[in-house]
Amino acid sequence: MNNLLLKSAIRQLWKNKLFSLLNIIGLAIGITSCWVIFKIVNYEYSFEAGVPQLDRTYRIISQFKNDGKDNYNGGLAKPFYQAIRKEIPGVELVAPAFRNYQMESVTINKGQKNQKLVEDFDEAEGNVTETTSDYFKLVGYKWLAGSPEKAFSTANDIVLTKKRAAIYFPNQAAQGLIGKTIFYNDSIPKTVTGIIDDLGFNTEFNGTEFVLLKEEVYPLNVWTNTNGTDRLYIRLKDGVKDLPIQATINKIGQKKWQEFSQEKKPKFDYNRKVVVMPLKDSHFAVYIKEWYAERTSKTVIYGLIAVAAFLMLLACINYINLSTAQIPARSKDIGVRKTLGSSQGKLVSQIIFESLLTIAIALVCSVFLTKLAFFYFQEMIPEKVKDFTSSTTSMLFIAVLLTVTTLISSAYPSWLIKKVQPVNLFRAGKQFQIGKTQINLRKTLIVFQFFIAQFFTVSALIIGQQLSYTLNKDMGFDKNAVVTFDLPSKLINKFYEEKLDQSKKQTLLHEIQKIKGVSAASIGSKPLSNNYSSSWFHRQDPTLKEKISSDIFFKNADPNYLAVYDMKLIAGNNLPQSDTVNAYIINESAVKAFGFNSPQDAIGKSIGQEDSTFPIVGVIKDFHAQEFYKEITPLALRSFSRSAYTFNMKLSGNSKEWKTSIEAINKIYARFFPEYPIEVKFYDETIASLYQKEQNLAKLINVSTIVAVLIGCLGLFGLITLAAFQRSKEIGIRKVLGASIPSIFHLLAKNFVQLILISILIAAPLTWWTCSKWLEDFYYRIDLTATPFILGAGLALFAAVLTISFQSIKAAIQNPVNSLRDE
Amino acid sequence: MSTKNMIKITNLQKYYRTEEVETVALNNLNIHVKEGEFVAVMGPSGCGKSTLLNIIGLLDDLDEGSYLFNEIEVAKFKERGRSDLRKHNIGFVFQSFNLIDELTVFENVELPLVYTNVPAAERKKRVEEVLEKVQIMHRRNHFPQQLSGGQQQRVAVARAVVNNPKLILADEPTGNLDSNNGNEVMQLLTELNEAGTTIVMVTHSEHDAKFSDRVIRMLDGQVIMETTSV
Repeated sequence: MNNLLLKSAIRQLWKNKLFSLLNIIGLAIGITSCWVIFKIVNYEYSFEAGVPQLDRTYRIISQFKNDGKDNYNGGLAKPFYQAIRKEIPGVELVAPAFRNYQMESVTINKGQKNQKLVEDFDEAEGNVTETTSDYFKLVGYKWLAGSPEKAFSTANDIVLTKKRAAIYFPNQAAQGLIGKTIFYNDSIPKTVTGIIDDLGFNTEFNGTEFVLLKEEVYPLNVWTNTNGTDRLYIRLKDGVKDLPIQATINKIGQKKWQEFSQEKKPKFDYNRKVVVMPLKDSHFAVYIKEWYAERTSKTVIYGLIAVAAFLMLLACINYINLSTAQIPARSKDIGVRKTLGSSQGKLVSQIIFESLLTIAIALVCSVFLTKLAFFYFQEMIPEKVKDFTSSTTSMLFIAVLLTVTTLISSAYPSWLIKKVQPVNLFRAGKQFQIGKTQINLRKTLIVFQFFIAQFFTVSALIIGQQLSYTLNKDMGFDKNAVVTFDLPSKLINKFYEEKLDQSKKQTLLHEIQKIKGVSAASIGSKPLSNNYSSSWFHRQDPTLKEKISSDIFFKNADPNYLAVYDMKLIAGNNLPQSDTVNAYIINESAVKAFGFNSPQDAIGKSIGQEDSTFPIVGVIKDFHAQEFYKEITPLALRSFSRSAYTFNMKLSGNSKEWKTSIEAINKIYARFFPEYPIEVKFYDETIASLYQKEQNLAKLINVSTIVAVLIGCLGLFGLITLAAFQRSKEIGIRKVLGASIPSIFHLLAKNFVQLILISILIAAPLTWWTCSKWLEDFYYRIDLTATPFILGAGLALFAAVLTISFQSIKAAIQNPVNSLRDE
Repeated sequence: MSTKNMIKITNLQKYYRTEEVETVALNNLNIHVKEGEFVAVMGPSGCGKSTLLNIIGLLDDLDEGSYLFNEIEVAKFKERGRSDLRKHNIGFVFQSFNLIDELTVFENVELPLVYTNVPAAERKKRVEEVLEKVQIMHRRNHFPQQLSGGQQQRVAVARAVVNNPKLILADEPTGNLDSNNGNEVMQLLTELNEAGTTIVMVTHSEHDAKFSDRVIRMLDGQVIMETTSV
């Protein structure tokens, strides 16, 4: 029986090659989207999966309220861990993980021939964490040598991860490393007491070497210091639920603040709240800014799941549409089988088996499409996602996908074949008729498909418009032909520690200015960037009745800055050259914020804080210093070369000559600081990369649009083919009676075009609403006009008419003799 | 021929209803067919022949009356019971052959055996026997479209008899065939009848009717005449 079932299914698919192909393409695209998105979701939800008792493990973070807005910091004031350990019942483990930045180098085999120095410390590769033995239990490390109980018996003990140990002691077994001594900063000895295995799961626990956190009594002011790298984790005891742990910790914090206030009488307000967050949510806490931790927004994940579900649904709808449309043609077969004694179950299993086979073929095709998708979206998809999913999970997913898709796709056609009556077999020429309800259902499905396609199309157009507006709008400065490079942080540290003289920066700048292809060069902050500093400034004017104050952002600059970015002074003069702040150039917004009557009025007036005010020497036009999400705010350029470490160069000549100029910049730089390599970047590319999120969204929406329109058109093509086939006799009669080719085309196309128009109308308000919401996030945004809607509708109609045309015209030019002959 | 009635239909009423009109298809019809009998049903188009065949074949309901099949009342049987009775007792031959295009000759003939759960080896044996009998064995791996009309109807007959049904219902079995092929098919049916199978055949052809034992003539849903061949 099964053999026959397979043979019948294969022959059925082969007989309807066109429809089978349309179904397979649609389903393969749907499956690919589901598969890729499943892999992403699977990866994102795998974070911290290996932590034991994850449901009882929490991370404690800080929340600050500023100007009514919540800001989060992933760290917690250091003394909290002691208080929690002492005062909060129900806590099983308290695991502080405080980053130690003092350790800058490690000497191995000190004093021996094979002495080695490692200076490579950064978050990803190697970092020192101060902690307690609870930490190892909480994270669930596997010990390759040593044990959590004995590892931290003295302050000199150190525990290394396997990967880090391999850098210090290559090719040595873990057990053999116990007792070895390394020296931090050439002078602090540490003895290896434990080697732990690298974590085999995705995690934010990225420490590579661990030293014992010194127990100390912290002074009161430390309770108000929150550092993002002082992290704290806890695990609750089994069965502990509903304890007001967060409230109790907050009470401790408030009490300490009161004690501090009474003692120090601070002038500032302090609005901190401690938040106890389940560890499994940490990966999704995008509001915590930790550049070394990989985070993902749950909204994005849900959005992706919705996209996958919609595309899969579209493909299933196609299948349902095309297979139900074939039922009249198949009614003879079904009737014969029923007459010969086939049970309903066997007939249904035939339909289900055909679906299963189609979907299985689509699944095979999707293997190749998945590779293509990973290639196309490589910038968006984390590298590890590709090979992350285990084969068991993959098999399980495929099994579920196959089952669900098969059931969805075959349920309705199966129900329909039950209604085929074998009695019609004896009535020559009588076919199973599709009832009005079924035709309406098919129409509804087509409308739904084009509704989704239309939503994607118009959204893609609007997102594209906004992106183009963002990248091409006048920023208030000229970003073209500007290249920049940042000094590496290690080099900056040397300047801070005064191991290098500030004048060396200026000498480098002078050398760069001499390059023929560089028309201007400056050391100063990039005009538009994510990093900024701000202060609360007052206008210094004893004649004012009321004090005028404003928050103001700073950009470091020098006298060449305006020339590099072609910023126009609208009043006053340029900044003087200076190592420290001695004057400001402010923007138009600052002129307004500080209540000056005109730009000219501001010149010569002073702004600043109580003890340090400086004169305004110039006013420039407003420019965008932050992304378009944000309004242009008061800003001041200041000459403060001590804290400026970005070089900005305006290149002259044509784009072919730029390469030579950049090479010259690199060459000169290498002469100064050969051991600290830099990367010279075009500034317009840097700005474009600030909008990576939007560009990724645009890419995703564009592909979804193409896929949705394609699937919709596949379905439409299938249905118009059937309509032309089913109405071939009618068309023949009409032609015999004198109908023209255009009138036949009109006859066939009319109904479908009406359906597309309905879907366009339904999609418009939803698209309008969704896109308005999205645009609200941008302070500077395009106006939502009818243009993308009209364009989207035009595109949908064009695609639909193109799809319909081929079959309609084919049917219309058919010789009527052919369709009437078999009567 | 046995004296026992295989089919006994009494006071059969069958209506076709649309929203506006009710048409009487079969009106107070009484009919019986004995085991081993070959009966031809004749009459003009629309007289109710095919409706009668549908009801005998348990493909359609009757609205009133009684239908005894082998002395069992089957008029009120549900679909499952009818399907069971059909697949074990009745074979069908249609005017337009109604072979399944996607199945080969062998597979088409095999299908009733598949539905009655006959083991594969047994199926192969019986299909080959019956294909030999209708002399189409050499085309066993062909698809219906590759055969002539006569060959297709021979396959249809083979499929109808492969399950050794007690009754064969034939609806104008030679309607789509030329006279040579028509005669071959009628010969086949006669042989089956001689071997003990009861046959009810709807036909327009007086020539074909001559192969039967008895001719029932119908008009407007009623039996107007019955003639027995000599």
